Amino acid sequence: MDEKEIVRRAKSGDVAAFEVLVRRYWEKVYRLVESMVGQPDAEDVVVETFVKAWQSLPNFRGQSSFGTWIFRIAVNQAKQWLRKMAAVQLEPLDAEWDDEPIPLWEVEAIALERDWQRRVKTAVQNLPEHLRLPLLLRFWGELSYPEIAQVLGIKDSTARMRVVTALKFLAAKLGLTERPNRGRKQ
Amino acid sequence: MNCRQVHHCLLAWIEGDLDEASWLAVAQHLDRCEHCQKEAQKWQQLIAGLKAIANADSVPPIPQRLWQKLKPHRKRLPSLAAIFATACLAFLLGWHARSIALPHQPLQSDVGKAVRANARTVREQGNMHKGQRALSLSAPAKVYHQESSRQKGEMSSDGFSPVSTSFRRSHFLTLNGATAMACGLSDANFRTNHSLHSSHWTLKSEPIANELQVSENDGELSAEFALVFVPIETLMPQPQPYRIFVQVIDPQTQTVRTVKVDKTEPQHVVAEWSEVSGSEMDK
Repeated sequence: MDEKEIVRRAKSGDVAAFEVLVRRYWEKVYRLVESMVGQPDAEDVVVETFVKAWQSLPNFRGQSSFGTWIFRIAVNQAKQWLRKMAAVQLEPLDAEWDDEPIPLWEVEAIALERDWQRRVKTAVQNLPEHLRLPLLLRFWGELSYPEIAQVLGIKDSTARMRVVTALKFLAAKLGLTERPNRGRKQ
Repeated sequence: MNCRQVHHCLLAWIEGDLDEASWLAVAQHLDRCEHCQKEAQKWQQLIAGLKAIANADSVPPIPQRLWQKLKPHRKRLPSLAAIFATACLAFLLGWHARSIALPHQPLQSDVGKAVRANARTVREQGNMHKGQRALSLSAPAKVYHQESSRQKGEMSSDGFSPVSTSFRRSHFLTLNGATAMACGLSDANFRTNHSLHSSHWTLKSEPIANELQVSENDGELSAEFALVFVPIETLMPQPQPYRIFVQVIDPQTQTVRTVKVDKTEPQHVVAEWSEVSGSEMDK
């Protein structure tokens, strides 16, 4: 069914239609929120995101896509949560791997892989927010640049430039390239 | 395409956002430039790593509590302001409809009372000419005079006599088949003689009277026939959107017809009603 039709039904109070939207966006929204607030609290924030979306749905004008709209709510909810918790750091980065059994012959490769992932995650978390959010929306939320621009209320070109700058920062941090010059906030 | 240009669009190239010609140009440059090729490989590695990390974490199933929180939309209650505005609108509409729907209800307007009171006063004074049905409108006239005098800085000896009262013919009104004349107060250009004669006035068609004589007697305006329209807007402190005329249609029974006219459309009668004095109705 066309998403606009589903949204229209959900707006009129059809819970089943909204459930379709939740199932469609749950994973992407969860990944984005988790990258912002960390695993322990991500689920709560995502649940609140969808509850907020359900309550605000009658006011949704459809000027942007539902996906863009739900990501905007998710970003705001995550920011709000971070402010409330007064903590911007993630959960222990490698906590989720502790319980998994690892075959001996893969230990070295996995260790290298985990180390790489941990370093990347740390580097991402250390990015300034104006660079981190576009990056997270791009690779965790899988949004296009126009959609990122809509979520963050910036120009398409600015969204793209911020992602590029974030990648350059990451590359420098991870030793892939030379660290770029610190430019002004775009 | 040189190295600088390739670096500029390397991300777009990796993400497949370039058009075919640009993508091919970058690919050709990378094919022959080892430095840019290494750079592209690093970027590809980084982006692939990011995507892998983004998708590495397991996503929990949608918790049951979310569905429990999705209650049907409640219809939003209107705000207090909306309720108040609606109530005001309903009241005004009702009031307006009442004035139209009940035109023959004997509404006791202040002007009607004033006119009747003065008619009674004149009759009691006995200063009517024989055969004439005189009606005094001293109260409104005095009010006009007061208004006029204040504006012009004039004041008669008693402060009430209509020595400077001025009328002007404004327009004709068609009321129930009869054409009558509406008199309006003028404060500047239409100051007339104290005595007004029928020659100054033209009544068309079949009015209650085909001749109107208004004269001033002892400081009071008298009409030969009971056909006087009194614009009462000057009695009202606030500018009114309507002009209200009072017509004495039967001095014996002291029946007064009140006509409410839209100022912007003088031919449009907004409301019309007749009043019989309480004493006459009791008889």
